[in-house]
Amino acid sequence: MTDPDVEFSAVVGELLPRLRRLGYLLSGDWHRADDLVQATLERLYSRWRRARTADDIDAYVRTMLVRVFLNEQRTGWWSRVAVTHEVPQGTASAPDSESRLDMRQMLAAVPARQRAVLVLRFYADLSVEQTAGALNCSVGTVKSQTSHGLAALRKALGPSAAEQKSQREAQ
Amino acid sequence: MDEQQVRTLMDTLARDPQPASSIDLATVVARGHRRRTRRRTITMAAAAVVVVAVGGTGLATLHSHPSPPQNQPAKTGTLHGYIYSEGGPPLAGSPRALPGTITVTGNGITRRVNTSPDGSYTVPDLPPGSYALTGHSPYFGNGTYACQAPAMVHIQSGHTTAADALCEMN
Repeated sequence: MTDPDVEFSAVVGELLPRLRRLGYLLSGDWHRADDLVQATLERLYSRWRRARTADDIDAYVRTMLVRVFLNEQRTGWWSRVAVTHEVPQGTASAPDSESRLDMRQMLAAVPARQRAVLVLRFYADLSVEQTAGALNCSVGTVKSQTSHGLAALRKALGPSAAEQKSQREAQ
Repeated sequence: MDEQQVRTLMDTLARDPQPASSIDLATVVARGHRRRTRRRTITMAAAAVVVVAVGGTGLATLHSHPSPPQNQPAKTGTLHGYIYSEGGPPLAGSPRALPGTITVTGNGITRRVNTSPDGSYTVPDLPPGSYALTGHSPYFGNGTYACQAPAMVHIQSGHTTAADALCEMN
């Protein structure tokens, strides 16, 4: 029989890179992503007996992470979890290229719930129905949030080249 | 911006190099265990309230941590090992023992012991189960960096389990 803690440790080890990436896309910041993942894993550990029997543990934890993120947004502030006493080792990331910084800023301009919908649909490749299940909302809400999220991204991107040309011609 | 462009944007951002994780499994286990105990206590308290409500007047006694059966010897195990770093003086390229402290977390308990000058430590009387092992040494990052065991440590009653905490830079 597998020890639950050993099993938990093994599953978390496998999930961690994907969870951190998801947290990064949602929050736009690696440090906050780690806070989100840490809070999610604590919740996962506390209900591991039930979680370990989930059909798709990946989806189960992903849903938990998105809900932790949205819950922190809902409260209007987020707490910095005391992850470790020490400064993370080797955390110096590669310098941001300008385009990536722009992309992050564009995504950050999208409201949190719409961003979560976009990330689940276009990064995690969930269907509208699966996204609705993960966010505990209706299919219609997912569709409208997707539409609003795309509009927010377009707005953050600024006028397209074609629009700029037509504006110049109008002037 | 269409859906395909959003997918491309997400994929590009997701490929950003991940910095070293600051997530500490020992903290996850300790805090997760506390959370689980709290939830269990609340659930039991709620159940007791229901019992009292259904039974009219009555006395509900809660035992969130049941006592072990009487007249039975405590069944515990021992953890023993070293805290060490790779390389460096005096024996370049080989494990080097360090003095410091060892923290063992799991099963709702946290135990901290000092190592001997040769870097060895012993944690006696640990209930069977899995534990996260973390070490700190003033000779490694002035004691601010954690030295971790590569995996959870499993303690069995009546046995001494060996586990080392390795101090290494990522």
